[in-house]
Amino acid sequence: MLGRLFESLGTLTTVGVVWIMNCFFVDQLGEGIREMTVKQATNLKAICERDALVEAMSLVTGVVATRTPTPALQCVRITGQDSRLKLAATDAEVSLTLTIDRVDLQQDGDTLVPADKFSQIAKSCDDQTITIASDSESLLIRSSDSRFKVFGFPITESPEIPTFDHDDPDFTIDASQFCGLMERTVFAAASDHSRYAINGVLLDRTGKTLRLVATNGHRLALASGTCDGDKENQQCIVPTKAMVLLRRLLHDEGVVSVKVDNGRIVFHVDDGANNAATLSSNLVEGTFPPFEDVIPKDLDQKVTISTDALTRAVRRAHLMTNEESRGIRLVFDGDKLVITSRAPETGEAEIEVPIQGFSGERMEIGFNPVYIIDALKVVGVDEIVMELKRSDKPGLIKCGNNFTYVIMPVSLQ
Amino acid sequence: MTIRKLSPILINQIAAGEVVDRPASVVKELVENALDARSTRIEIQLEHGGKDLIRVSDNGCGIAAEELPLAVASHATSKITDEADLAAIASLGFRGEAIASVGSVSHLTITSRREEDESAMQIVVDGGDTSISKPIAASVGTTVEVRRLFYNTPARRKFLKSDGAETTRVRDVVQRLAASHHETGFTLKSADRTILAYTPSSATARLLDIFGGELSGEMIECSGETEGVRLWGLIGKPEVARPTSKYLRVHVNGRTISDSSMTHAIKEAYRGLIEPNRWPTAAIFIEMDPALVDVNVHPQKSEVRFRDRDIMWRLVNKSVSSTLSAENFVPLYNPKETYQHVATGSQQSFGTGMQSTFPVDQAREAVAGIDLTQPTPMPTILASDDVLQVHKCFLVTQDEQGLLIIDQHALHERVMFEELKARMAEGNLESQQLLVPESFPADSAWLDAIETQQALFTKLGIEISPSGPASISVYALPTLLVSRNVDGTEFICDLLDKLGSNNLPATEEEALSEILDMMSCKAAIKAGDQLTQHELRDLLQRRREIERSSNCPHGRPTTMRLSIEELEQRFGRR
Repeated sequence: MLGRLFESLGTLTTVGVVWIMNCFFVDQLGEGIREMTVKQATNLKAICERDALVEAMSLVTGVVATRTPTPALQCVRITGQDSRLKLAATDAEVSLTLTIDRVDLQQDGDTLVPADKFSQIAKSCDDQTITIASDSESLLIRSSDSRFKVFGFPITESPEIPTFDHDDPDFTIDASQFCGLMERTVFAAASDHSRYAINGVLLDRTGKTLRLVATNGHRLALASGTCDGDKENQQCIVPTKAMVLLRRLLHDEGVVSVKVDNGRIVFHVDDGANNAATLSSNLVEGTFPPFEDVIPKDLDQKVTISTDALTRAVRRAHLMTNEESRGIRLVFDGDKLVITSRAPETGEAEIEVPIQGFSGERMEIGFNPVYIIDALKVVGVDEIVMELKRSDKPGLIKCGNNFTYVIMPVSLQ
Repeated sequence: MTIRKLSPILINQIAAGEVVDRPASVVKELVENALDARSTRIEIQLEHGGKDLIRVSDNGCGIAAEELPLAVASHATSKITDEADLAAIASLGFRGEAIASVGSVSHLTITSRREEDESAMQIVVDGGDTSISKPIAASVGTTVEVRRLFYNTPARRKFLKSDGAETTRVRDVVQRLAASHHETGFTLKSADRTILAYTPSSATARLLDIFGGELSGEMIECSGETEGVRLWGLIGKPEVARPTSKYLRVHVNGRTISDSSMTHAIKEAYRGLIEPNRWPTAAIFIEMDPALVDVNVHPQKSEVRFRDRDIMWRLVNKSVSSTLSAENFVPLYNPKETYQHVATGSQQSFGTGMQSTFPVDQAREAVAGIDLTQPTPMPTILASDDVLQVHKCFLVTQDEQGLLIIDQHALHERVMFEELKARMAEGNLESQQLLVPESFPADSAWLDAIETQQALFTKLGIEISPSGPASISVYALPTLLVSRNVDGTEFICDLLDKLGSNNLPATEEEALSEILDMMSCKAAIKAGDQLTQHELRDLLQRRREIERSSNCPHGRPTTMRLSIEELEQRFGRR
């Protein structure tokens, strides 16, 4: 009985000592932490134009990782410097840095907060301006009627985000032109294909000719344009995610500077109005199919068709297809093209389209209608040329010299 | 009809049928002889798949001039002398039949020189007639030339396959022998083309040469020992398991054997790590006292009898399973998966991507806990009712009798199977050409399957053909697989494995059913696929249109019903 009492007394004493020691140490450590954070994250204060911030944040949230054990990869790093605000985020594969100058920077500083929350808060606010102010552990977001406090992460946990070396780009290209190149190719890329080189877009520069190529193994899109630069020829595969994000960054004005280095590609976008963005991405490793060999050069039938008429006809024929009978039949005969389709349980369709330039024997070929529509959506001209040879040979859709689209046929019975 | 004693030539021709049935078996016998002669370099040359010429040259110990005539006589061998030797065979050959058999059905020339001889001797056998040996200039070793195999047995010659297929069989034989003789260099040439070239190397390096370098990080070394028996081998991680047992090889004292108890021992060790219908990739080498194993079971010597089969079973099983349990098979971070994630990265999918894995098992368990009535045939779902997708795996809806729970994969598989069958009845499946053909390595079984099953491939909408002695190319795939984003290469490999194996049902209709089932299983939505309301309704709509929708093609139920009465009872309303 007595022994037991002593035992519990002993335990009590130990607990007490530990408690006292804890208090002591926490006090000491607490001072230390406060000092450190003050040095590393200086307190940012800025009044931002709401629309500019929302627009920038919607781009940034497109980058951050959705599922990751590293919370810092879900954060945006906000830096105030030289009277601008810089927003940077990465998912360790693709990184994006945006600067906005529609801001009144009252105090330079640096903070790391969850991108998603910050973006939602900014979006939900109706005022013209939003005030943000950071302290060592959180970001305060104020509008006329609201006050949010978002807990952040130590700035030391911020992942490294590549910067762009302005002096030495591999090449530069007009933003609107680059936009066009992407628009005409990125859609054709594969998604989660086992040969993952084709899940990206090939960027191929020969002298001042820049070509983008994308394929899913059944169709291939190639668009070419001109760029400025006198470096050696280059070829690399850019992940589709980076391309989609880049497309959203570009507007009609401005210039894109590109640099490929050490397995990464960096795009720097200058919109000419003091807003700059830098997007960088790991390149896709692997071999892209030999696209030049795949484009047939001996197609003797060159048929001119109205883009609009063909689009409408293919869409209508598409109504009578299903998963097991994907294909539509294109029958070229004299000055008309008859498109037919048949889904055994559903029914049939037949649509006529006028054509020019077809000669010789009547010819039949099967295609997946989706592949045709995809291309017609992006050609941007009133008339396209369809080049063909035989029903078991690939077909080509062309508009001018800068867009070539190969479609492999479907064998119908 | 009078009974006569057969002539020795006829006896040999009959015996030839057991030992020698195609160029590959000739190569096997000749290479085994070369290995028994302790050669360090063996060259095999073929013309027209070995039908016109098989030449095996080695740098082994050679045959003495005076023994050459004996070498081509039947039941003459240097490998055993008395009964005691037969009980403990240490060499690959021993029966003394092979050379005589080959000689009786071809033009056979043997040229041999021992190191101590001044010159080589040559002997020629033509359909069993031996001509006198004569001296000739040649380097040390033995060269055996077999020309016009089966020229005098046309029936047998007729059974040979195309040159390409025979070459591939020879290649398989040489690979098997090379696997267990890593210290010997092998070269296999057909006409001017080098098909195989293995330099003497370590056992591991040789196996990786044979299995393919891509497995280099996927194989684990394993070893074991018991009294008089030593085991060593490389076994594949569970991820590299295959649909057939072709990549599972067991060698005993340098001989590739087929023994069901050994393969069973290995497969058992993988229990729980791989799916029950897949086979591990592994090469096991057993070295044991020749007295403990009888190889004289069959002329081709691919079967053996162990004196104590249980000990062998336990040794193999224990060695493999202890190696496996020492490894940590938590799935590795797979860059392909993250890449897929990126590739689908349109803006909308960022949010939904998060839930791409989920505990299917938990969902199944949760449902398994409910005591359900038997699967009900053809309940009609009330068209206006909403459908709920539970854990992205089961669909819940109602019909006039109660609550229906549907397994989305099983149902979609069934629906697709029926639709495919209906389509096949009308004609060939629609096929989509590939921009660039997919090429991959193939073995003889696959090449045979392609040769014999072209009609079937056309029916399925697959365009496939050999593109070399050991590779095939696919030019077109069924549009169904393409639009369902199925990995075409993987499907073709599984299909070829199935066609190449012997367990395909006999009738064409059943075989076709099995293949369509495989196809619909691969193309069907999986547990874990999020479906939109539209897709859910569409799937249930199609369910009504097909027969036998209550079970998937494997016989598993697609639908279960919890009746209103049952519910009322459970809630104490009755």
